[in-house]
Amino acid sequence: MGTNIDISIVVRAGFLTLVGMGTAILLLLSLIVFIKLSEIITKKVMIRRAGSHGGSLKGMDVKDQMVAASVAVAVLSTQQEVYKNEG
Amino acid sequence: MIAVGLAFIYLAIRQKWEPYELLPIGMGIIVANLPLTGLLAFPSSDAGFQEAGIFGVLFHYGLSYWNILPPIIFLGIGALTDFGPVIANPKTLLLGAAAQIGIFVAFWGALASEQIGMVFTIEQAAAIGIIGGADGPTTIFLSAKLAPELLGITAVIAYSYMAAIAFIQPPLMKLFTTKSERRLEMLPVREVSRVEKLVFPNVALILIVLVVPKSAPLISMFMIGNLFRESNVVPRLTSAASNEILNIATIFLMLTVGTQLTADRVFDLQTVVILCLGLVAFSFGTIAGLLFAKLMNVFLKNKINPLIGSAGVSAVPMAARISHQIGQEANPKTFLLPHAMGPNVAGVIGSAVIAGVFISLV
Repeated sequence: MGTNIDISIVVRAGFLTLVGMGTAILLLLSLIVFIKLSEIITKKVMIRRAGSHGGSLKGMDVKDQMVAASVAVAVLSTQQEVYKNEG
Repeated sequence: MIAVGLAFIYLAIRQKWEPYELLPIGMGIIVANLPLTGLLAFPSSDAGFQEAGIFGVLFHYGLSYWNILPPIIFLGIGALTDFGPVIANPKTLLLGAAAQIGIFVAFWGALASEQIGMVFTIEQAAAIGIIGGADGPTTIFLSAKLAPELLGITAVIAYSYMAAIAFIQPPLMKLFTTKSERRLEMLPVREVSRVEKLVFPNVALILIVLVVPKSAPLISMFMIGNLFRESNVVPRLTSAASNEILNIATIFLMLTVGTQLTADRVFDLQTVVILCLGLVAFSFGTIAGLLFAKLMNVFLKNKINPLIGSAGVSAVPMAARISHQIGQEANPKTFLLPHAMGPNVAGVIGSAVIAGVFISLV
């Protein structure tokens, strides 16, 4: 047993530790960046696909709104007639 | 040693400790320690090839000469792995990296054990350190390359500690986290598209192997197996990789590992020191993962439950299950399993990368 430390082994081990942990962290960080980028790209592609159907959807919404408005006017008119007759 | 083999068989069958590994290892130990069988012989000269024993041949071609059994195991593991949790919450990859600190604590511990009269070379220290990665095939792969004389011991210790992780981790998890931290509920993981799951193994393979070419045997087989799974177009290949191939390779690998545990190698102070260093590696890996998760919470708006940090010790899926169980004990509403699978899988990648660095530079 002794306390003589082989400096060359310590230096080599230190280098291995730095390179090992550093490489693992850098690679995993790169994968994180890639995953985030692919998430953004996937979302943009999905939004574009949804947007390309948007024209016909808007048209239907306005049509539906007109139909609903017509029905509402008809119902209110009928109710007004009923109240008049009852009154 | 025959009694040691029988003890492993008992642990595997009765206690159900990693039975797929410890049962064949136990049988290998018994077979290797029976005298005059010649099963471990592998002659160095061409004339004696017919004299070779089956386990000598398996060890020579499966491990020491070609070292193909651990990569074949990784093919099967890749076919079983779902990268969805990693892709859904990629910052958990960093927890996998943090938990690999245990590897270097054991590495330095092995070098420092010179102070107590136990001298390990840097190659042996690397083989001991990789136990902290809690990845059996990676441990075997690296030990076979750098320190084949320690192969049996490091592999058995790695698998034994993986089996005992349910006893090692919980006390540390409770010691290094508060009850309120353990109760933390995490937001559900987002849904991951098929395209993302298809692209990830390709990009990961190219990136990792370009940076660390020596990790290619493990990483390439891992990603190939995963691509089989995610493609959904080769169900027979996926099934074969994750069942028949994985099981056959497991049988031969574990039997061969067991046959390396002869009395002269095991009954040695060196084994006790490696046993202690393995425990240190697992413990520090767990603690590093927990503390790094707490550090990340200082900067994150959506906090992560620090318990998932301990799952970076890549005993898949046991470490993730333990994170989930401890979380449920603190708060039955918290469901950590999908979140913990992220660092768990990242730990597999991290330990394979570090093994590649060791092989390249040692």
